[in-house]
Amino acid sequence: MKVRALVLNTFKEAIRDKVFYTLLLFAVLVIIVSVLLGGLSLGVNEKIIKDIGLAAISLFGVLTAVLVGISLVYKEIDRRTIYTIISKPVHRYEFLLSKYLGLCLTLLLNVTAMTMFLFIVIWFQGYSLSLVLLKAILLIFCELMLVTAIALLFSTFTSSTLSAVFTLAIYIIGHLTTDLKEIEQASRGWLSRYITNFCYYVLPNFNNFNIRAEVVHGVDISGVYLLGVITYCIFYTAIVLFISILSFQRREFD
Amino acid sequence: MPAVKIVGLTKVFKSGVRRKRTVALDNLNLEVKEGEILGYLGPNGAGKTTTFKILMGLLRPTKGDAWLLGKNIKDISSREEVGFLPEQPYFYDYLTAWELLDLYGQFYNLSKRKRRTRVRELLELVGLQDAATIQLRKFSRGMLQRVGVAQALINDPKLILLDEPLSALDPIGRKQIRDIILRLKSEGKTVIYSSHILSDVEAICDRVAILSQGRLLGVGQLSELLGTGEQLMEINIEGLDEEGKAEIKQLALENIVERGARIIVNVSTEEMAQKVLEIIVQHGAKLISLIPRMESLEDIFLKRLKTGIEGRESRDES
Amino acid sequence: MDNRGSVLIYTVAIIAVLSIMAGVYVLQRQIDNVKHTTLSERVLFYLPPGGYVKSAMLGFDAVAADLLWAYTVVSFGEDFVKNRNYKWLYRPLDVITTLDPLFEEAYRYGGILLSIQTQQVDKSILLLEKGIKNLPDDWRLYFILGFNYAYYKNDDVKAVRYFEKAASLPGHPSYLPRLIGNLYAKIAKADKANPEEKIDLAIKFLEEAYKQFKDEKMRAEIISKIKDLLVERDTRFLEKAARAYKDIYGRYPDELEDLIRAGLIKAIPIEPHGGRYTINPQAGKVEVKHASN
Repeated sequence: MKVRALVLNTFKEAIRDKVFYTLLLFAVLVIIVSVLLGGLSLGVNEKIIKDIGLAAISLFGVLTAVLVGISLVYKEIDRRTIYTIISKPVHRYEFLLSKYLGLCLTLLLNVTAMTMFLFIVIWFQGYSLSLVLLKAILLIFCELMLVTAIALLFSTFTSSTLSAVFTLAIYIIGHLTTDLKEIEQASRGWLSRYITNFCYYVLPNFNNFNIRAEVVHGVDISGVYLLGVITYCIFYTAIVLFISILSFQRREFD
Repeated sequence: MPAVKIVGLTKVFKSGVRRKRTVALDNLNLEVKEGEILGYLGPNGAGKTTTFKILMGLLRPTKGDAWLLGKNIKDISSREEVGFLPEQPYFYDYLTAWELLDLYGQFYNLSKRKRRTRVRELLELVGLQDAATIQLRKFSRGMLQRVGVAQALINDPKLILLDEPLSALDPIGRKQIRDIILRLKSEGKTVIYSSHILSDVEAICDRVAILSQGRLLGVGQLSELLGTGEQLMEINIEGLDEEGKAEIKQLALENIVERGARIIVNVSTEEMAQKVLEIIVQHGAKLISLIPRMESLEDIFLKRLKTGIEGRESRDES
Repeated sequence: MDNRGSVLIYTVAIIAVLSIMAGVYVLQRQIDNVKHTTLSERVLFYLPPGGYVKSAMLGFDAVAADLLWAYTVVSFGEDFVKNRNYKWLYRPLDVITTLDPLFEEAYRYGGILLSIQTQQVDKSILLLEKGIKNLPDDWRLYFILGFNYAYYKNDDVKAVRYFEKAASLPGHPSYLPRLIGNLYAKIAKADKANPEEKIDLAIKFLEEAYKQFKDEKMRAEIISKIKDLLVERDTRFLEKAARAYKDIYGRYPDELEDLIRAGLIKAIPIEPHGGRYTINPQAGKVEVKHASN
């Protein structure tokens, strides 16, 4: 019951956050702009709307995860609202995990709202509403869960600005590791190859979650691939949450 | 069984790049009896808040151990029957008073029905029943303090720790809180509350523990700890010239207060009084008044903080 | 007094601000007129290779490809009107197809724009070969490749190979098999395609291309090209008939109607632009006289 109470409380706090609404609004605007853009492009309207739509869900989802997520934990510690909670018989890990689940719930709302809007736009324009799009959105959501966990980890021990910077940095690097690995395979230096390989496997590989291009072209994604990526996400998120719990356990509030 | 038992509690903070050491608590040993009201007294920075934070799990001790109602503080269940009000409390300000207390009630797994009754009772107890549906962000400091007391009692605890509970309140508010504390005692509960203001503590505490710079100076009845004050004479002088002032200063009296054209001097012996009177006459100044008075508790307290207190250790009492 | 005063001030302020905004608009238009907007050409030409752009896009490659495509298309349209300098066209198409290797329209339209519209056949072939690697089941890409080899490169062997592949894939036009047959015959006889056949091929190809483009401007372009090719075909046809006349009568005809009277042609082709064909009797060259002449 404690967990449920905290999760719902976190959820309510998050959706009151102005940042949450602003980002949602921007996503809607971007999707509308994509419709206008389609007219320019020699007959690729459908592709543009779907591409931009999915990109908006991904981008604004990540920004929401980072900005709202970080402020949530850090605000608590900074404003000392956490004192009266930790001093109750609530385990620290219960508190942290409840925060995490509350955020995931928020992101679920966010992604669902954006998806519904995008689908309405696609339907209005008379294009095909293939369910393959949902597969891409499912992976976007998995990506968001992982990013949130990373943001949570940083906010257990650094300030909100640094947490945001570090999380975004990992997000960016996580997209580049694949390319880095390919470039380094060609190089003869064993040290640089070792380092890039190490980075590739240790740092989160966000490329795995990106099937948006394929989906828009109508290429089908195998269930095996989906299962593999979802499992990767679960494992990696579990590790990050575990480290977060350890970090939070050691945290002193003075 | 003591309500609170603290053994050898030490807390050292290391801060900054060079790991500068600050000793917040130095080998604290204290026992609090069940059913008593203990005043935790000390100047700002003495370590009172640090003690509470360690007991409630917000900080980890560097050394030593403590038990609340027989359970070690490392065990999270030690907080089941304890209520805590931190200093200058912050709450989720978008919630109403009612919603906050309801939320906290859920942390103790209280049923919905039980919560409803309890929250209503508590709001009445602290006098906030009319403000129950107002968002906390609109509350004054005093109102927040009262919500704080309410949330400390949500689980009907046996032991209540209050950090500076009277600090933001007006005289009426302070009386209300003092009444609540007395009422809790009459229900058989143990209350520890901290303050840096003597009079807050003097009136209703069974015992007082005095803390300064991380060390426990003494525990016991306040009057016994501080001893009686000295008989002083307050001499009020007007129109003393500079030479006269210089001579007074040479007497090395404890405190000399200048107020405009007047000087107020406190002397503790008849000889000193005589010397002062001579200076007045010699320099042609005017004696306004000569009043005997007792040293105030605050004066004694401040003096003793400097020189140390010979109080009885709490261990001897159990 | 105060109230009226502040209302007046506000009104004046608002009018002033609106005037300044109008001024900004006018200034911007002036600036645009003076400044040569070949910026797009330079930006697109100097785009870094696709691989680097892709990495920088952090998973938003498809969108980047779309935006770049829109930018390229618009720039191309502008260039068409102003400069007719298309050397920059290949690089952005290459980047777009690296960002989104399944971007069919980029290969297809890009291929046609590069060969027919801007005479950069080798680049067109490069792009299309990349296309068939990533989209091996699209008949249209093979078709354009076949055309390039047949019309521009005079390489019938390669042309046949590509046309055959196109014909084996679903959706191909029905005349393809016949086209392949003709080319096969040529190769068997080691005969080079004669100019009229090439023109016919080009016209067929452009008709196909016309179907691909829905855009008005593009279609107008294609029709214009078809008309040019028709003029060329008619010119050759008439000049050939004129030479045949000379062989019989020892001189070129005075006018084209003579060819009809000589029974060499059935009728004078209609000039597609609305002018009419005439013959220069001295050289035997056929010219087009426009309505205004």
